[in-house]
Amino acid sequence: MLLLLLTLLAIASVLFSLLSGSVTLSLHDLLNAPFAGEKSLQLQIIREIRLPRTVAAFLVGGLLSLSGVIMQILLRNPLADPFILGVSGGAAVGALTAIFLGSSVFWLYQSAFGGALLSILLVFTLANAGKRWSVTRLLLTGVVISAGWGALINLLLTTSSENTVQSMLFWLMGDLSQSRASWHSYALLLAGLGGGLALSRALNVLTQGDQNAQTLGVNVEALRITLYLAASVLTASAVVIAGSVGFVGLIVPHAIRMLGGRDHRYLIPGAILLGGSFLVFADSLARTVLAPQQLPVGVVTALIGVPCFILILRNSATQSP
Amino acid sequence: MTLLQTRNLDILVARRRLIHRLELKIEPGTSWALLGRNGTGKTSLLHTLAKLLPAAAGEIYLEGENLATLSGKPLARRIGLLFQQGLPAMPKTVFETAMLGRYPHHQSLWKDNREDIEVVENALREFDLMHLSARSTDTLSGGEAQRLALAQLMAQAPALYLLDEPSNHLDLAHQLKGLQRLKAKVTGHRSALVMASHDINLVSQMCDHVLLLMGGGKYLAGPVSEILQEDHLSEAFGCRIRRIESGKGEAVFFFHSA
Repeated sequence: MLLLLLTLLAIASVLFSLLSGSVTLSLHDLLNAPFAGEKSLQLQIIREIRLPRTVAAFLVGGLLSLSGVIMQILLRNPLADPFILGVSGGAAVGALTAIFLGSSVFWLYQSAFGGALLSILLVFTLANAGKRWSVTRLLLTGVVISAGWGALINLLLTTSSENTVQSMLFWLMGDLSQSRASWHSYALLLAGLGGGLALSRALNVLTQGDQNAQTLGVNVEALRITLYLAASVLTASAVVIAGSVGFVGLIVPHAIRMLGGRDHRYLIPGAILLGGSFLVFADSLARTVLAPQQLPVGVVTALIGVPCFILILRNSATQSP
Repeated sequence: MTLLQTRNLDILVARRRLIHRLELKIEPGTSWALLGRNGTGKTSLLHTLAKLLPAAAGEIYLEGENLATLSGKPLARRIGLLFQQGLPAMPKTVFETAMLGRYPHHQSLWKDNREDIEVVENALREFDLMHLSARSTDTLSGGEAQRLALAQLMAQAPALYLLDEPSNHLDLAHQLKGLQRLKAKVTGHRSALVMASHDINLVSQMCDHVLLLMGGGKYLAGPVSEILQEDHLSEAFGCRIRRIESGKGEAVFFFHSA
């Protein structure tokens, strides 16, 4: 039931996004677009501009929410979000270095992804070095590495010229205006969904703690490594497309849980659908509210997300939490 | 066939030798009590038998198979453990929590099959939790949470039940009733149970065998009537314990400070 509603919400958000913009299109135009001539303006606007951006927004929202779900179980911490272990910091340093050097968009993507991978490996190696693995150790390592990336980001920002700083800031705040989703990210999101569903029962068991999960037959060690790598790669691919879009990955999993989807069999697809819809909706507003001025989508996600979340929190507090 | 056998088992925790050369044979249908002072290694022994902790030396055999060769779901279908501190969990419903006990048995990825649902409902009924089935676990009382942990273990339906202080938080009625339910699972089946406890009176009613840990790796193992004697208990617990026959072969235990 919940999943059905969320699917409808996702469809609605995509339609809303395709219909909103500086050129007004009606639902009628949209439905006719595939049949209009190749040269029709509507078709071009939809196919060349709005559709790719909408798809990118949905993918990024889905990737970040799924990653948020995973991080929250992995770290057993409700405040965990996709960026907590430094993936976004690594990607940002990569991207900002590319902007600093004036590289092309292609190299910006490569550089951001490289930075994210470097960060993933660094945290993983340091957290696993020598001693026994623990949540606290992983969390501390991630936070320290994040702080390191933060310093490098500030260094790049202060030493860059003024107009490069502008595009750097947009990247840091999360921005979909240049975004095009590549097939890698489709594949990753689908793989994440499939893998997540396949593991959902094990994830349910893992919420009972490592030892209990172990005695119920979960290979906790292997599952933890899988979860860390999966969450990191999902985050990296989202960050490469849209920068560090905040709020989605932290809040969407909680929203689904409060709406009754605490079982991971529902939480995982639910979070992808809600995260995707939420970001599509936020991005539509980001590019229309102050048009022709475009806002970074990260600003909008927080501005809409905060009141929405408080509302859900209040409603769920009146029932059993 | 012997359900569980240890050979020369040594357990070290923080370089202290808690268990030394333990030779234990648990036959199907038996209920073992695990007694001893704080820090003598009751929990460590249970965790070692459940393969959560490595043994420092020696071997453990489960129905003739070396425990070292078993893992994952097949192991979880044969050994289950009730933790001393209950279930630390992100809140779920009572039913969902008990259903986690079926994890090693699940056939379907997505749907709970009929058999699983029946087993879980039975377990909830056995521990008087059916009426709380839809409640969120963070609203349960301590005793209810403990019964839920027991129900989850019963849904897991292992051959060997390892119970770390199962009577924690339980009122007297539930102590007897709940533990008798578990014991009924064990007697006459190919299962067995080992329960760590501090309640000698409960143990003398519930169990037929005792493993008494004396500290420093020393231990006594055998039938209840042999081990639960005043001299053994007084030595193990470092205080005077009196045993009073209450007729019908039952005994009551009283404590005095040394």
